[in-house]
Amino acid sequence: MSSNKASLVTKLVNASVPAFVWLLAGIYFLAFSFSIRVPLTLDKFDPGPAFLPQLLGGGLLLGGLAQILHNLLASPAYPTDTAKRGSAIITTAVFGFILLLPVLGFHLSATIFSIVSMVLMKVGWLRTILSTTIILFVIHFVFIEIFMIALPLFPF
Amino acid sequence: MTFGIFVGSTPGLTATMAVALIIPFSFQLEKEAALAMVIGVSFTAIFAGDIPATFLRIPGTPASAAATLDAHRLALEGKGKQTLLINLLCSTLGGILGVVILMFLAPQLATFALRFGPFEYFWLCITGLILGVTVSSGRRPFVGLLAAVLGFGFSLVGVDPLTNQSRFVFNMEELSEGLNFIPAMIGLFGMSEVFKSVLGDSVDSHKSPVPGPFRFRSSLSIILRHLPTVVQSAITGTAIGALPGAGADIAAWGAYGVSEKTTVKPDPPFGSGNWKGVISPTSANNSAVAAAWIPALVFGVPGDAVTAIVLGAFMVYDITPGPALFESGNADFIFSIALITQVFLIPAGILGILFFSQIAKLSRGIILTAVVMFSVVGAFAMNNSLTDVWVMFGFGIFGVILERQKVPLAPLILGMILGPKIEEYLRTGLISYRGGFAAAFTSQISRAFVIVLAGIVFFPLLRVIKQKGFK
Repeated sequence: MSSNKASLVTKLVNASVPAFVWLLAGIYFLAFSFSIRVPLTLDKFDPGPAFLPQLLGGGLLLGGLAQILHNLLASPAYPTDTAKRGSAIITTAVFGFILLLPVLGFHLSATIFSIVSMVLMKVGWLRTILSTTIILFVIHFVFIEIFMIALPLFPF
Repeated sequence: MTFGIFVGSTPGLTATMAVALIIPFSFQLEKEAALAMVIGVSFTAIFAGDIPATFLRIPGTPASAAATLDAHRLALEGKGKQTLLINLLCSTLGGILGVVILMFLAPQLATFALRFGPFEYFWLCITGLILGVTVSSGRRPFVGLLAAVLGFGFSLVGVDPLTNQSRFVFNMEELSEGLNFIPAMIGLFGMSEVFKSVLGDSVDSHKSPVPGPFRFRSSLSIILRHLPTVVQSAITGTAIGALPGAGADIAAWGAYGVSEKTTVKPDPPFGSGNWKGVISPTSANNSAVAAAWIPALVFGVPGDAVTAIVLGAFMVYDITPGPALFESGNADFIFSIALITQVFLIPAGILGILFFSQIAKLSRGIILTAVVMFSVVGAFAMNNSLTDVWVMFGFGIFGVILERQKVPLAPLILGMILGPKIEEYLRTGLISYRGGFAAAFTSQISRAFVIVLAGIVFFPLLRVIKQKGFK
C-alpha cells in the first residue's frame, strides 16, 4: 500500500516537473497583478494595466495544470541525463565575467574570462593568448573607437 | 554596405542601430550619397543577421530569428555557405520585388494601410503570433502556446505605456525600462547554446556547423524550384511591411508561417533543415524593409524604426515626404538607389559570408568564447546598461532549462516582441470603441483575420481527428 502511494507520488512529481515553469510563472503573474495600481484617471473603457497580467497568469496556471493532467495520463519519458560539469563551469565563468565587469572594467574582466574560458575548453595557450588579443582589439576598435559605446572602464 | 554586414552579423546590434550610427557620417556627404549610404546599410544589415543565425544559432537581428532553426540545421549538415548564398539571393530577389511593388503600388498600398485601425492591428499581431507559434512548435503546439504566453508576460515587466503604472518592477529602477527582447533573444538562442555546448570533457564531441562549398549551381536550382515561395513570401513581406509599426521581424515570421501552412507534407519538417524555412523569411524580411518606406514616403509616417530615423534625417537632406516627393522626382531617385542596393548586396554579402565562414572554421572553444564576449558587448550596447547583460545571462540559463523540457524557444521571443503591441492595440481599440469588443469583428479586414486564425487553429485539429478516426 505504501509502495503504491510512493509510486503515485513519484508519478505526480514526474508529471509536474515539466509544468513547473508554467505553474510558477502563472502564480507569479496572478499574485503580483493584484498589487498593480489602477490610476484614478483610467479611461472607463480601458480594462487597465492589471487586466492582461491576470489573464496571462490565469492562462499559464490552467495550462500548467492541463499539462500535468496530460503527463499523468500519457506518462512521457523525461530527460535522465544530468547537466555536465563542463556546462556548470562555463556558466559560472560567464557569471563571473558579468559580475567583474563593473568592478574591473571591460578590458580586464574580458581578458580574464577569455583566458579561463578557452583554457577550460582545451584551447592551447598560444592560441588562447593570440585569440584573446585579437578579439579584444576588434571589440575595442569597433565598439569603443568607432561606435563610441561607453563600455565599463577600469576604475583605477 | 560593409558596415551594414558587420553590424547586422553582430548579435545585439540591430539594423536600426546600424542606421542610427551611420546617419551622422552621412551628413558630411551630398544628399544622393547620404541616401545611398543609409538605404544600403539598412538592407545589408537585415541580410547579415542571417550569418550568425546560420553558423552560431544566434540571430544577428530579430528579423533573422525565423530562419535560425532551419539555417543552423543545414549548416550542421555541411551546407553553411550554401544556405547563406541562398539567403543572400532570396534577400536580393525579395528586396527587388519589394522595391518594384513600392514603385508601382505605393499610394494604393498606403491607402489600404489607412483602413487599419487598432482592432485590425490587434488581429494582425494575434495572427502573426499564432502562425509563428504553430509553425515553430512542431508537434507541441500547446507547449509552444504556453511559451508564447510566458513571453507575453515577460513583456509586461516595466511601465504600462497607456497609464504609466509600474508593473512587476518591485521598486527596481533597472526594471522600469522593461525586459528588452533583444538581450533575451541573444540569451535564449545564443548563450543557452554556449552553456549546452560544453558537454563532457571534450568540446570536439559536439557537432559543429560546417561552411562547406557555395554549390552555386545547386543553390540556383533550389531557388528556381522554390520560386513560387520566394514570390509568395515577398508579397507577404511587402503587405506586412507596409503597415506602420509592423516591421521586418513580423513579416519574416508571417511569411514563414504562411509557407509552412501552404506546404503539403514538408520533408524535412520546418525547423529541421527545410529549404523553405530559410527561403520564406529571408525573402520576406528584405521586401518588408522596402515596404516600410511606403507609409514613410507617402505620408511621412515611419513604417518601422529604421524609416523613423531616416525621416528625421530627411530634414537635413532637404527632402519632404508626401505627394511632392513623387512630383519632384526624389521618389524615383530613392527607388533607384533601393534597386541598385539589392544588386550590390550580392558581392557585399558574399564577402561577408567568406569572411565569417573562415571564422566558423576556428576551434569551437575560441568561437564560443568570442560569442560570449560579443554577446555581452552587444547586450550592453543597447542601452549602456548592465541590466540588459544580466537579462541575457538569465535567459541563457532559462533557455537551457526550457530546452531540456523540450519547450520550443521561438514562441517565447515572439510573445515578447508582439505582446506589447497586442496589449496596446487591444486597449486602444476598447477605448476608441467605448468598451465594445464586438467592434473587433465588424470590419472586413478583422473578419478576414479571424477566419484565417480559425483555419490555422482548427484545420490541424480536424486533420488529426480525421487521421485517428472517431472513437
